[in-house]
Amino acid sequence: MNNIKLAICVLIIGTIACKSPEKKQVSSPNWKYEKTISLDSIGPVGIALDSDENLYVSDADNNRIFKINQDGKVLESFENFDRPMHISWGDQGLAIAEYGSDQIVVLHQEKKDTANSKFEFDAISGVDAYEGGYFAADFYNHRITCQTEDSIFTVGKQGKAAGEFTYPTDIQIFNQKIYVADAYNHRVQIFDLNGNHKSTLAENEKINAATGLFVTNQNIFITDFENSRILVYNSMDSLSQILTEGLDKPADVIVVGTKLFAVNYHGRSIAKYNFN
Amino acid sequence: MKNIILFIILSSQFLFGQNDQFTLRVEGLGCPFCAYGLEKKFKKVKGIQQIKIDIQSGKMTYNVPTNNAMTLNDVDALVTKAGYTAKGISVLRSNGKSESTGDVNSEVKPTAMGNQTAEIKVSGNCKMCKARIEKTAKSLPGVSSAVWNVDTKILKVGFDNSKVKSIDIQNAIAKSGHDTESSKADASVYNSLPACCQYR
Repeated sequence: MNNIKLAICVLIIGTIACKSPEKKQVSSPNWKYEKTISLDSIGPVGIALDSDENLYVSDADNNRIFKINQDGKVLESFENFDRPMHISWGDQGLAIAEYGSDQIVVLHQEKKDTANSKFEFDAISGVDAYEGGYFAADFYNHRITCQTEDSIFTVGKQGKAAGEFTYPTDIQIFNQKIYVADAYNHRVQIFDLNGNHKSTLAENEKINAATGLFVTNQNIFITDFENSRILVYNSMDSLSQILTEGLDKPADVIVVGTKLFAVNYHGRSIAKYNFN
Repeated sequence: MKNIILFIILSSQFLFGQNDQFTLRVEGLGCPFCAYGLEKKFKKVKGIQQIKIDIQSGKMTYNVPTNNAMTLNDVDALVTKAGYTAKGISVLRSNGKSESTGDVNSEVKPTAMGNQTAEIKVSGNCKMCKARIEKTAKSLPGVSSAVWNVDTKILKVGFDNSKVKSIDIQNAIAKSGHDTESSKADASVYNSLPACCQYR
C-alpha cells in the first residue's frame, strides 16, 4: 500500500514538474559568447571594418583611432583627433564623427581630410558614407543630416514622437533605409532615404541609452549601454536574442560574417560572439 | 623701444597669466557622449585649459584665467545650460583663496575592477519599503551593498558586474513589488503590498 502511495506521489510531482511554466525565452538564440579581448588603455566608442576585414576602433578618451586585427592586435594607431565617436568605412576611407570639432574627418592611407559639409553640427556623434556624401547623427541638434551628391536635407527635431529624436548617436544606411540609434529615447528609428519615418524598434525593451547599432540582411543589433546588453532583432523586426555575457557598457557593435564584435566602453575591451 | 614692448608683454603675462582651478561634480555623466558634450560646452569659455573629466566619478577639473572672474554661479549656470546638474563646485583662486558650494567629494567612489556602483530610482513610500528593497537587492549574488533613500527614492547599489547586471537587480526588485527605472512590478504583486507601501 505504501508503495502505491509513493508511486502516486511521484506521478503527481512529475506531472506538476512537467507542466511548470518555462522561463520566457526569446526565440532562436544563436549568437554564442566566445571571449573578451582586452584593449588595455583604449576606451572604445565606435567600431568599423575596412575592405581588408581589419577593424578600427575609436578611442574618444584619448583622441585616437586604432586599426586592429580580429584578435585585437593593434596594427596601427592614429592620433590628434578631437573626441572621435562612431566611425564607418566607405569609398573615401574611414569616416570619423569628430564630436569635439563638429566635423566629419576622413582617414585614408594615414592622411586626414575634412569632409565638406553644409551643416553646422553641434557634437556630431555618428556618420555613414553614402553616394559620395554622408549621413550623420547631430547629437545636440537632435537631428539627422544628409548630404550626398544628389540631395541635402535634415530629419527630425527634439522630441519623443515618431521621427523626432533625443540625442541621436549612431546611424547606418542599409538597403535603402536609414537606421538611427535614438539614444535617449531608448529606441531605434527607421526611415526611408527621403527621411520619411517607417518604423520604430525596441521602444518597450527598457533600453537605457541606445548608443550604437549595426544592420545586416538578417538582423539589427542595438547596444543598450547602461544595461550592458545587445538586443538582436530579426528581419521581421522581432526581438530574437539578448546578449549580456562579456558586455560592460557596450557603445557599438559590428558583425563580420559569423562573428560579432562589441566594444565595451567601460570594460575597455571587445566582446566576441560567434553565430552557431 | 624693444625693451618697452618686452616689458609690456612680460607684465601682461604676470598680470593676466594667473589661473583659477575649478573642481566640480556633475550628475548624469553616464556615457562618453554626455561627458564630452559637457566638455564641449566648457571649451567655449575663453582661456579655459586642462579640462579633465572622470566619467565614473562625475568629477571635472579645469583652469581658467583669473581675469575671467568666473564665479561659482557662472559654472552652475553653464552646467545647467549643458543639461546637467552640478552637485558641488569648488575653486582655488590664484591668490590662494578658495570658495565652494555643495559637495565636490561625495562622488561615487572608484571601485575595484569588475565592481561598480549605480543609482537606481525605485518607487516606494516607507521604511517597510526600504527594508524590502534593500533585502531583495542584497539577496542577489554579486551585490555587495544596497541603500535606498526614502526621500529621494534612489537606491545606491554596489555590485560585481561580472556576476549581476543592473537590469537583474531591477527585475528582482520589481518582482518584490517596487517599480524601477527599467522594470515594473506586476499588478498582482503590487496589490499584495501592505497599504502603507502602495505608492501608485
